[in-house]
Amino acid sequence: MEKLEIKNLSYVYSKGTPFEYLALDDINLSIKQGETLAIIGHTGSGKSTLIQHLNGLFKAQSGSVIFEGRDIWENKKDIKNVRFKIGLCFQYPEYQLFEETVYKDIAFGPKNMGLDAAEVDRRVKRAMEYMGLPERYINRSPFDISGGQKRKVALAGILAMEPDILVLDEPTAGLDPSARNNLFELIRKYKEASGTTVVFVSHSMEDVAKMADRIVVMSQSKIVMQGTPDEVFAQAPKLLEIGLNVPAITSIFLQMNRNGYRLPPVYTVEAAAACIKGMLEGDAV
Amino acid sequence: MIKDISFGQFYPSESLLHRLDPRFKIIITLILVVGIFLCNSVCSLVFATVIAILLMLLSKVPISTYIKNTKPLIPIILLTFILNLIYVPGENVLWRFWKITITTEAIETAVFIAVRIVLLVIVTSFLTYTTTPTALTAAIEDLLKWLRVFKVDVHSIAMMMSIALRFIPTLIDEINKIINAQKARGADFDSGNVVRKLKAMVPILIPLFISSFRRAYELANAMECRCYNGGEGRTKMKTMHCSAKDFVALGICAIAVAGFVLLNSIKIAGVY
Repeated sequence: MEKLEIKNLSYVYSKGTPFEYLALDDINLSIKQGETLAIIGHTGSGKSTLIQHLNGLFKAQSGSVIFEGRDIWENKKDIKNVRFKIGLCFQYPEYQLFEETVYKDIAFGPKNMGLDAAEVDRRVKRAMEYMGLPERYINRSPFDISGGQKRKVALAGILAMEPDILVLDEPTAGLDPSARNNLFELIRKYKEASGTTVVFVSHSMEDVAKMADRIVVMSQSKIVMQGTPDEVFAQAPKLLEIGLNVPAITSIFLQMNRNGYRLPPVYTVEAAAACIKGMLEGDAV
Repeated sequence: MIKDISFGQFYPSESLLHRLDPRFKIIITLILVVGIFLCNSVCSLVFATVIAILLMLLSKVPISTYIKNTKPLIPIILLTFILNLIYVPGENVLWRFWKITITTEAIETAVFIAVRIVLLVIVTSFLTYTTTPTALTAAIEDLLKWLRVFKVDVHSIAMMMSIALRFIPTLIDEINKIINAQKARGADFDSGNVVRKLKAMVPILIPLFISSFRRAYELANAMECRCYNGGEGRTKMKTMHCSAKDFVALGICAIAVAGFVLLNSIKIAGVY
């Protein structure tokens, strides 16, 4: 079933001034229940503008965003509820922390939902557990903990709203590789446990290959490609042309094929390892 | 909401006024501001309005941008208008109600001041619309050079100003980002009474303060890394040159202000 549908969405920044800039150009996209969708594209391709339309932070200038069969702007007063159902976590979300304690900060969203204290408490603790934050953090100031932990607290603040769709704008930007893997692992576990639909923006093709069921490629305010990782990474030359890359392992395999091997396209190290193992055992070359 | 602020922003365009020497533009603006205060007859105010309209047209900045700039000041203009209307004493009573008397003198003063405020906004926004912030601060630094005699660190003040101006758009961006991030968590900035609205600002202000401090440290480090050590022996990449057109503009401006003063003596019906 289509969980979220975007129809003919266009958006122009600073309309009618010399700074006018077309950020989204006739975007059509549908997001299915339970899938993990990755949005990739170079800086300024319109990814962030697009995801801010998903929960009504931006109002479509033309076109519409349809959540569970209803236009999110159908009832203007209801937009707050849309934001609880489509949880958006911004890039560098730790910069939005403001409360005295980790607990209070995570509780900000659920409290705004008007939930009672017991329910807020349950959600905060659950979100902390999902994000791997130990209970002793509850009373610490969110400004005293490490960068990676801050990120997790901010993400937990979104998870605590228990959204139907989790939208993440470059969730691992600025993290070191182990923190990155750890965070993606936590998101994956959360997704498996809750069945949430996940949409995320990323610049790392490795992360996209590992996480996504489907990839949307944006370039110059348009969607230029979409499909499974297989389908998208198979078009490596086109990706390179618009200034993107393929996972390192995919480009190694492409280079090997140019040197006379006949290897299948791969995009994760695990698949590559299996493939090479098979080759060494003598069924390919 | 916040991204609509246009006050004090540069508006790129290819006009003669954009090309004038920024130092002259500052002086011209100051002269016009003083000139507008000197206007106290209908004739001179009308003349000043004509000059302001000419400035707007010559700057090739759409009039609508100027109007947008004036809009936030409407409450202030209205307030001064009403206060003047009520409190300015006069003899020619037009209307009396309870303790309020309205005289022709009061109406005159109120209208004059309202027009003056609008003209001041136009003249000062002409300066910021046609001059980039960097040119503006460089010009101020140059104009205030003589203060060095009194051991005033003009360079640092100018640098502080240019940094402050430089960060206005950055901070506006930042505020919008924080507002959106908190809205995504269901924050509500529009409903409730004053106390609730003020409380709703906390989730914006705290992250904003923190990021401002962070930016300040980063900038200070970046400047030190590039061996910034204040104004001593520092040269400019773009030096300012004044040419004939600047003096012509200054001359026209001086004549205009002389016109204001002369027109003051011509009174319509001997009164206004």
